[in-house]
Amino acid sequence: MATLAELTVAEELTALREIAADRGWTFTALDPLRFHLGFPASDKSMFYLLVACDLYPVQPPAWHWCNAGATRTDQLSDRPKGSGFLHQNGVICAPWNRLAYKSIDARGPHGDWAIGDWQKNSHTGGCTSLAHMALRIYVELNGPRYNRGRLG
Amino acid sequence: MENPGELEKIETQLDDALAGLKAAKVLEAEAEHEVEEALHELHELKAHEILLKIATPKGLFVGIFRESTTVATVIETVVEKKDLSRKDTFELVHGETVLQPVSRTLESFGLKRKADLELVAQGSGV
Repeated sequence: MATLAELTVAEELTALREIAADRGWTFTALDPLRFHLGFPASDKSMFYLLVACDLYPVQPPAWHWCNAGATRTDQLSDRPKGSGFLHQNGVICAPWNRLAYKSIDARGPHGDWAIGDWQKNSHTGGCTSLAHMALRIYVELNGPRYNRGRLG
Repeated sequence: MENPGELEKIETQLDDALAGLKAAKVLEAEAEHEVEEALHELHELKAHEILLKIATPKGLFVGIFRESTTVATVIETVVEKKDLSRKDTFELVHGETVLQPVSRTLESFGLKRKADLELVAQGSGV
């Protein structure tokens, strides 16, 4: 029987697939709770994310920077160099990223956020669906907080 | 349930049905998108009109606006058509440019004839 997380992910991925197909992003569903996404930054270099959605939407997804083949995650060479949102610790700094929580990941910049309240966190704004999160990352990779390069 | 085998069979059928539903939704969205695009390609843009293809949290929005339309009006239209939450404040982004202030017109940002934009909620990051 499908879980709440699987049903939610399946529903929300419809919008994301449509955007990815139109914009030429890469998108691969790895299983009902994980997908691989790639898109270009402002310098035309490609960045990839492996997204784990277990416990979603009770908890936010984990957005791991990874390589094109999704065979490794969280390597310096796969993480964009930036500031703020594109945190120097190598994680996306937003309440809708599970890795931003220090209680979950040692690199998480925030020990002051409660993961169960991620949708109510004022920094989440309206970013409460997978397509919206992906769009925000794309916009940031093409905005001033991306320092055109990689951490390693 | 008296027969565990029967229960397992029903669960498998339910899983198959859900998978089928998911696939159908994807195909439906793709078909809608293709039809929408085809219609707009057939539509000949009039002078001072612009074709906008906007990636939104609820998928693609394609529409034709006058180049003198304000960004605020575009955002309002897309929020309404895509049934996005009116509680959120959205911003339109074109490449590296956030289209602000929203009182400015599309043409004032150099947008003409056709453009790909992104609609995202303000403050959705740190």
